[in-house]
Amino acid sequence: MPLPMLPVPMRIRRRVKETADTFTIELEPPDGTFAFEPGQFNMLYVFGVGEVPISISGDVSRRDVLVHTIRDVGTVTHALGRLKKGDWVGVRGPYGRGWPMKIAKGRDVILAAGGIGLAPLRPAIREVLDNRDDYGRVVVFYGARTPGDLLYPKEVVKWRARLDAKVSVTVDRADRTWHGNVGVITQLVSAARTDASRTVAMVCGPEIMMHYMRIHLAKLGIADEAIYVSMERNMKCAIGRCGHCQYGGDFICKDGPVFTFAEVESRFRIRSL
Amino acid sequence: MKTHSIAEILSAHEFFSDMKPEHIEFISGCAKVSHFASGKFMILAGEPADNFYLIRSGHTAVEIEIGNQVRTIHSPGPGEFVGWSWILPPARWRYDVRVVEDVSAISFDAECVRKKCEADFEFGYHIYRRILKIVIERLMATRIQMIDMYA
Amino acid sequence: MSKSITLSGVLPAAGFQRLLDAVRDAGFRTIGPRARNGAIVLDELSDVAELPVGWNDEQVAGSYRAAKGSGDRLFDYVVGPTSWKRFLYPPRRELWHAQKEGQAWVPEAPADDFEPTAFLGVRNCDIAAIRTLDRVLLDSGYREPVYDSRRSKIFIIAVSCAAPVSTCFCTSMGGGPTPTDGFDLSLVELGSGNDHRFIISSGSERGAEIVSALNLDEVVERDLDAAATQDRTSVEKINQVPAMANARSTIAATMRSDHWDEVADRCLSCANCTLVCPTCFCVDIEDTTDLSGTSVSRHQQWDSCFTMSHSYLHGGSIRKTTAARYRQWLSHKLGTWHDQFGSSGCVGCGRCVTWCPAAIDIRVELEALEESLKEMTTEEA
Repeated sequence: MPLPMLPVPMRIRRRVKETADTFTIELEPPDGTFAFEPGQFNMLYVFGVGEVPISISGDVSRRDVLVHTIRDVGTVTHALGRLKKGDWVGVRGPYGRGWPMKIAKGRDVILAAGGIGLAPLRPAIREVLDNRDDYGRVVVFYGARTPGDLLYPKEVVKWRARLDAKVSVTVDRADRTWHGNVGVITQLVSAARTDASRTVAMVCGPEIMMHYMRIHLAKLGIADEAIYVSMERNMKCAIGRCGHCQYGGDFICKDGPVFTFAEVESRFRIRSL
Repeated sequence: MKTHSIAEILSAHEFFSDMKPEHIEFISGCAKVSHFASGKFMILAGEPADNFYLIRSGHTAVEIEIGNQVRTIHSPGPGEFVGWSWILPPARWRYDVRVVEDVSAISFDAECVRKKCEADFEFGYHIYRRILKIVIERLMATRIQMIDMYA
Repeated sequence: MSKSITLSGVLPAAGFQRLLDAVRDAGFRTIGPRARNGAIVLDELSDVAELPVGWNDEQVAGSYRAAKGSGDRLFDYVVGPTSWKRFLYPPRRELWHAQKEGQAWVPEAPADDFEPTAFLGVRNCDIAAIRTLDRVLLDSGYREPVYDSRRSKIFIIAVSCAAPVSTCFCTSMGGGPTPTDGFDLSLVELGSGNDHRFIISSGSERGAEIVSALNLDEVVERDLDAAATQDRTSVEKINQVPAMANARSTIAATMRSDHWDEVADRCLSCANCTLVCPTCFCVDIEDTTDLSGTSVSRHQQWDSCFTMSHSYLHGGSIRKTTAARYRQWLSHKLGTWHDQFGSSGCVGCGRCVTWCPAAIDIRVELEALEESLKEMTTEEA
């Protein structure tokens, strides 16, 4: 009997503290290889505590390591945060429909992340930057609450140093030690300077952030069909049968988590859906 | 390197798009090019709002002092306008604007623009309408900032 | 299961035990209707006397009464609070367990000990419900292993409904009192006393095989006429809900209606409707540990969209209000189920209507939504 609800135990080979409430763990796939697509997620299980869906944040070309950046917001993520190098985590996955990497080929690409939303978008950003010639103009926007909340700061500095991509970072609040932009991420959008008719936008962050980003991307002339967002709901099974992640007629776990804005537009206007 | 006249620079800016050439010509007459070194204040809260600026290069920080902390609430950069307090009385600045990275800006004589708005309502309407658009955008941005979107 | 239905013959009621024995001899235990604590529930039985002989039920919104009458008929009641989902997709089940060895552990799944089982007295609405669950758990890109295995071990003996109640509305969901498909055997109970008999049809080869040993009487014109009359009478008794025809579009257009708040004033958010529903499939996952923390197990158990935890995300619920939760239930059941599985999630069995302590009736609420839609349209015009 096939049992897809069984996790595969994997050992933590590295743990990095990212911000006050986020951390990254790197796991070793037992047979040395784990393939996934940008935007997909895994179910991570902590022995005796429970399971949570966590997006994959690593490089698609690095199959020997599985990277997850996690925010400590609940019982299971808290337990994940207390694990050390050498400890075991149960993994099921990868699950879900990820970012439209194939569709984005040959086009201008806007990648916009808000807060922890950089974690699910990072594999897409790396894929685009590592295969830069396959894309038109590349623009990355990243917004966070404060400078201390920025994920992967060293890597982001490297992205910003590239001359073949426009990478802008902004924070909502800052003191004088911060020399970068202060203001909401939507204020960066008007500087995208992509060709709206051939732009694919991938937006990842809280729903409210994606909602505002879409308003500003629409002002540039980018159609809802070309704006992709990653949705989030409670998830228990990740295979479309526990019913928790329903979002109208879709199961976020298998029909998403990535949707075009056109697919979810009417649902964004319904409260508590 | 070809130097552009102020009128040419303004004509190319989104703010002045579709504005009558004579209006652009006029407001150019109220403007000059200014430079500010990093660390200096372009605007100081409480001072008369005699000028406002269109940043061409460099970065600034709109700052508020809260207790013993200085907080940046906005960081205008290239292409953005700085300063709105000049429009209506008492025409005094409300915030400090510090130069974070050397700024080259077009500086407008506020009194000159104000007078023209009063004397020529058509000109005033176009200026006010465009300013209103920016103020609405700022208000929207401030509201989003207020809701702590990334929490 | 073969699609061809064959009229097998007539079994006198006095010989009903022979049918039960034949099913047992074919290797199936039998689960069927039994009277317990004033309700007809589903449980194991082997003797015809264990059936609710002579029982009848009365069902209206918010009320259920079943009692033994003076008759001798075996199936003159409709569905009770239990549905066949309980056996095919049990309320609680272990998914796997694991033992810690050092820091590592390997999960192991338990074997499922479900025996081959005959479901006796399955109503047409419940056949539709099983078919609906099939689409959810077998035909949507993933086969739920335990449901799959149990589904292959069941033998369905259907029965036509001769005594529909006020909560029945199968005919508005594409069904009717007489099963036409999806069974191994199907019974039509006719007459009483000396004339008490069953027309038996078979819907599968193994069904035909089992009845072939029963020496059934030949079906005669009189039997067919009686069956047709009984079916017609039942159809007339079953409520028609014209609003169901447009349910999907009505709901899509009324997601922001204030009618949901109006229902929420009455709804207790008790989850009864979801627990008696034969198609609700939501399950929660629970982790348990022994005291030493070295051995763990994961269970799945029925969940309900009426609980706050159902929509929990990052420290809070998405659907905090009863209005949002009731809307989720109804809009999923009658609306978005179509998007997900290509059919309505409702089969018209009426359980949610009967077992709602606040007497909320899904049919009435849908009609009210349709009405509120008309008002919305008028206001716009």
